[in-house]
Amino acid sequence: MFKTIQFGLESLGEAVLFFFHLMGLSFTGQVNGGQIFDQIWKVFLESLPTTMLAGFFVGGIMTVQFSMQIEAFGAMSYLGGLATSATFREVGPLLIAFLLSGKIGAFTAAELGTMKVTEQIDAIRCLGSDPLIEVIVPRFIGIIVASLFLLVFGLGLSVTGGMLMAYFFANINPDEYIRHISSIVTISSIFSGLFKCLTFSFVIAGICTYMGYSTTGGARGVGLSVIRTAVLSMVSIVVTDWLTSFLFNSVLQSMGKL
Amino acid sequence: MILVHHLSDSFSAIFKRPHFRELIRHLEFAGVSSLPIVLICVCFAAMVTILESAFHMKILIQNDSLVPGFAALLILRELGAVITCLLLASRVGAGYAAEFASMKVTEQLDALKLLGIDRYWYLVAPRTLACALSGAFLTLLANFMCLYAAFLISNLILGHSSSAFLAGFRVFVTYKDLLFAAIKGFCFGATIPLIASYFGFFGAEGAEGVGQATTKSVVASSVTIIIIDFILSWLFSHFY
Amino acid sequence: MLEFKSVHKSFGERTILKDLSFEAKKGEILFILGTSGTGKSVLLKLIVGLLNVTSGEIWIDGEKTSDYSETEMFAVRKKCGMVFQHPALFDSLNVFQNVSYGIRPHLSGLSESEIYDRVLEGLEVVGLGKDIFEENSSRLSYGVQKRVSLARTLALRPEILLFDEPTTGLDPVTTQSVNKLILDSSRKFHCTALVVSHDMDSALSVADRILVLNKGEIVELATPTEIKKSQVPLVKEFLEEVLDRGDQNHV
Repeated sequence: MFKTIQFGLESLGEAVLFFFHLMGLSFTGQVNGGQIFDQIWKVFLESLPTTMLAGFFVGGIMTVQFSMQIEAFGAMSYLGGLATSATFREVGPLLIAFLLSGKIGAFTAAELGTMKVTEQIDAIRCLGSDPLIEVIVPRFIGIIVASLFLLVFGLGLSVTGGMLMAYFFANINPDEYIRHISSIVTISSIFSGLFKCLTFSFVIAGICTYMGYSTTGGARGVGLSVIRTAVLSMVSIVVTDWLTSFLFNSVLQSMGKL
Repeated sequence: MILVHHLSDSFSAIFKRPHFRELIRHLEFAGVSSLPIVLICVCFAAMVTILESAFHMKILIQNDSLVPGFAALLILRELGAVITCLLLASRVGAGYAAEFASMKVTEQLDALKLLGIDRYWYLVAPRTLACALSGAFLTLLANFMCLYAAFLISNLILGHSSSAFLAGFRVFVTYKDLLFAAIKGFCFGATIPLIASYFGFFGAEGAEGVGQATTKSVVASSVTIIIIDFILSWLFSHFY
Repeated sequence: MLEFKSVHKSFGERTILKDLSFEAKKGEILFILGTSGTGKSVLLKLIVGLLNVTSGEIWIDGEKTSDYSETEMFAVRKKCGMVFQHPALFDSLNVFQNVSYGIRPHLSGLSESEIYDRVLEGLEVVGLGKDIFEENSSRLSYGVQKRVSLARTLALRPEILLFDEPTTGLDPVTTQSVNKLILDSSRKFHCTALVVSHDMDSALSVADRILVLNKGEIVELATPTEIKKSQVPLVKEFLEEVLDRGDQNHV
């Protein structure tokens, strides 16, 4: 058990260093803009169906769960607002980011890992270019931008999902569902959700590029780094989720809004 | 079509007498060794949940005395099982997919066939059983851990006394919730190896194939878990 | 010109190369022969800076490259074309993009038409033509991938060619053609070629000189004719293997 924790912490530390190195490179402007745009587009298109599906069902689940609880208070008209708020602030970003870490994170780790074990990364170095600038940084920036968009998109769809489920299972018509969203979902809730999405996209991008780039040991190694990517990014997502929630609550409290 | 065939073969293998040594090995891998990571993750998730539900309760009824019960309900019915099994899907499911794909690359699957061993009986069935059982037990353990974390947070940060927490808790939560959570965990757990073996057995060859099989199985099992969760939540809502 | 001056390389406790000194002259084809795990591939990776020496010096054309930084190595790496054991083609790119990867405009300052000529020239040396430009590199057969990989290296106009086990795992016919490629490309571009291999047969037919490594040390460094008369046990074992195969062929 301690070995697992130790390994996790060590990888996390190395990933953080790698992450800052990449951030540095991203701002030096040596990276080809077209490549970054290609990556954003590719990642976005590849993960769009998954994200839409996940967002839709997360919204649906939250509505079903909340409707059972709220019924006891006779406050069914608040269902839309509450379910949307809970989805935006917490469950939505978390679950969608989980899925994206599987989809984008594992995919990128597998792609980079394959390039590494088939010596394609070494080949880039031997052809006189820096693989970090040629391959890693475009993916890094691409993933950050694309997954931010995807998360926001997923959240949008979760409202639709929640609305449909409310209509079918709790007999609340869409008008009523939407009416209370604006009264409960505040700007700060939306901002908190977006901020979470942003941090999650950084976490996913940093971990999967690091894990892919540090792959060794053939086909087995590729599998191994994919698993590590998935596990490490999920753990990091949960932890950063807690951190951001905590941070936001404290900030709001100190501002006297809560 | 291959998927249907795959599933029917798997199910018929599960109901044969299992290979006990394999079963225990996988219980250890899927259940025991996933325990720390699952517990850490759900702990954090529980803390977030209780902070967030305090936020919502204040909006709705201007006080947060019901928060403990509410959070406990959300954890027991939803987050405990889903987060546990999503973690299992990425750790164990990805592991199995990578293992199967590597076995395919190194021709071990063919070797099994030549030895006359049914791969569904030897590989898939023990993993499926082990994962389903681990899913159920880990969900239960994770729920207890979650409740404990929620209890601590509500005590330390939100300032509820422990008796208030327990009282609020008893109003909302029944033993049925534990049973339903375990059923969810069982179902989620069982889907993981079924999907992983499908992508492992029928994926592409080579180092690329291993990566693809792993990725696809993580994504497919996560999506399947969320969809099954939706169906089960809806189904169970009739029993309260 | 390439020179090793008492190069040491170790990974932690494990010593891979011990006190290695030799030089390869301009235009020479030098084979480095040894059994698996004697540090042959490590030697190549040291030259292009994919690994760093533990102690000792490597000189390339009068420059001491063994203590260059990663950015300084870029120029050196262009001078040293490395051909990997596996083709290591970029599977998302087509053949033309693969071959022109190292000489893209912002790297080489060449114009589009010059790049086109270079790519065609590289492919022609390895016996391929422009009909293959648009092919997806991952769909090509292994032999063709290897040729494209060599063309990609040749397009850089390297002064030193490094081959990592070019004939391992190939059938005898393809081995012959790869050997011919090594000879042709080295003669055509007047470049030094360092070939890491455990194939004595190829070494005897192509090499100007042969260096035999065992456990990180030089056992023998001589021309093929001298090697054939060598009395060193390991070299004799290698030769016997070749002779055995020769006998079988005659039967």
